[in-house]
Amino acid sequence: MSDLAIELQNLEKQFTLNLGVRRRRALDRLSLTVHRGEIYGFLGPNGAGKTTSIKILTSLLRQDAGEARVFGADPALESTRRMLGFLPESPVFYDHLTGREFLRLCGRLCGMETSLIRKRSGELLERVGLAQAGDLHVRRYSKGMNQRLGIAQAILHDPELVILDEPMSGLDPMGRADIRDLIVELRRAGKTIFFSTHIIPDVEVICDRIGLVNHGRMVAEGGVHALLDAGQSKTTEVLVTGLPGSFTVASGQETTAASGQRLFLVESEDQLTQLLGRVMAEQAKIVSVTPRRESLEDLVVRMLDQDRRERAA
Amino acid sequence: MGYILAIAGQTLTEARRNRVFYSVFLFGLVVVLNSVIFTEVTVTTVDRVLKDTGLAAINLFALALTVFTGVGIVNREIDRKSIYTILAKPISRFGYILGKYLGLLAIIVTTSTMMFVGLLVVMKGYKAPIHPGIFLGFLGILLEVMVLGAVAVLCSSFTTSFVSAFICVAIYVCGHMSTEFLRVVRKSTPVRRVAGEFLYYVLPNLDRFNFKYQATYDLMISERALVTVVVFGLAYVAATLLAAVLVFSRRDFR
Repeated sequence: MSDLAIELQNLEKQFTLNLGVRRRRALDRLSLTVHRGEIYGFLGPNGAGKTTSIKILTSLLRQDAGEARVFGADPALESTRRMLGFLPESPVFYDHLTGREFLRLCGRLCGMETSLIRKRSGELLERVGLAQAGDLHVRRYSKGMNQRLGIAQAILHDPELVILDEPMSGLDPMGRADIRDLIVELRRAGKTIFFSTHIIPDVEVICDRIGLVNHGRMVAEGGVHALLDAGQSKTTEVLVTGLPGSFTVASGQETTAASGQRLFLVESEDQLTQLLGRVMAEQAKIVSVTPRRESLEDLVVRMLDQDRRERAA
Repeated sequence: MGYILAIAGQTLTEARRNRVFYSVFLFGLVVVLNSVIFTEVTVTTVDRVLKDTGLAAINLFALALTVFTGVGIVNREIDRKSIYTILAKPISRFGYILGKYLGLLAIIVTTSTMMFVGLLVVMKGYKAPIHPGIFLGFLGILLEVMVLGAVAVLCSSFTTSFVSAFICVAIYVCGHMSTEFLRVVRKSTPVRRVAGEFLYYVLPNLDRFNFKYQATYDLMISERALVTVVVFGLAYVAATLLAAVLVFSRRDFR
């Protein structure tokens, strides 16, 4: 089996609108790779092409050009889809069934033995916090409960690859934390997780690698820390108290002053050494020296903004 | 095969929980009222009236059930997006369509059989003789709704419930008029004749399944004619489902 869990190469997809009069490009030579055993966060604004890519991976859509492979095989094959579990965005299930009955149906669709379905359903309903609601009809589930059931059905047959489209959507903070823990747990069990989300702090915490897509194209792809480190400026914040009013620095180095404290921003180690030397000479008190880090959210916004400017040019 | 039966079972469960089978009670009411009213006004042909009106009522109810249940059987799942979870499982689209059709068939056959048994019970109550002809009439109804069910699944795989219902009713009407239609177009211009003959061979000739006359007058048809009709019905179902699979397999789910 391939070492790559997912491989998209130059994927293209257009949708026709208004009875074919207009066409909208959803994917524009999109390429990405997801390695076996990693958690991959698929980021991008609404309409960027995330769900289209995921639907191609799950064989709900067919690409116009390019290639999509799951563990080196065509996702249109049933044998390939047996290796993956999928949670669609804002999932809708058969609401005339109970949660447990729905899992039984999913198990049968995956060719599982009845006894195994019963065992796994019980375990998973417990794991996603639906043990008490397993025998309620799905029509009585809240959005969060629906999402939890969706995750349970995605991993019921113990797939090697789990594809989750907006898994945190509709969940309260506790629910989000549960799903984050579950994703990390799955990775620990050797599974590969590919998920799209808008909730970037979650990505920063759990993802090994991310792909940022915009207008159907990959804007940036790589390890979370590598991308953050590459995009970092060397700015350091120095907070000082007890400086005389006559103490001045170069323009742009001082930002705010409150309660007798003064905040300086320096861009290099030389500037930092020089500033600290001058502060100590004034016998003032250094409250904190903090390297300023760009968050993943800042990085994503900056990259999308840069992509927008490049496209406009 | 297991997953096909799972899809069929789910379709049947949905119909059961949506109280589709309550239509049987309505049918029961119609048969009882009909038997009370018509047996009062007729003296010598009670059994014929019961058979005739009973089979007509079964036909009407089975047809209504087929159209109303069948036309939304696939596209309702597409509209609600519940199909995403199902088709991402390791199943083929052929298996999905077949499962849906078998589920629809289970609904129709179960309901129609309940109605037919109800009719036989009423006939027994009136001490009307039960001849094999009535079973032939019932078989004809089942074959007709099997064909229309396949047409409903085909339409449901590519268009809306409203359009599907319209097409099904149109095919039902045309299917019962196709012999007369062919006779008329054969006297027409060559272009109309070719177009008319094409339609005649594409649309199902539903009159072939109409054995109500035989049922009413306790007549039987030859074994060979019966086999021909059954084979025609099954072949039409197979061809229609194949078309549904071809259409559905090429669909994108946006």
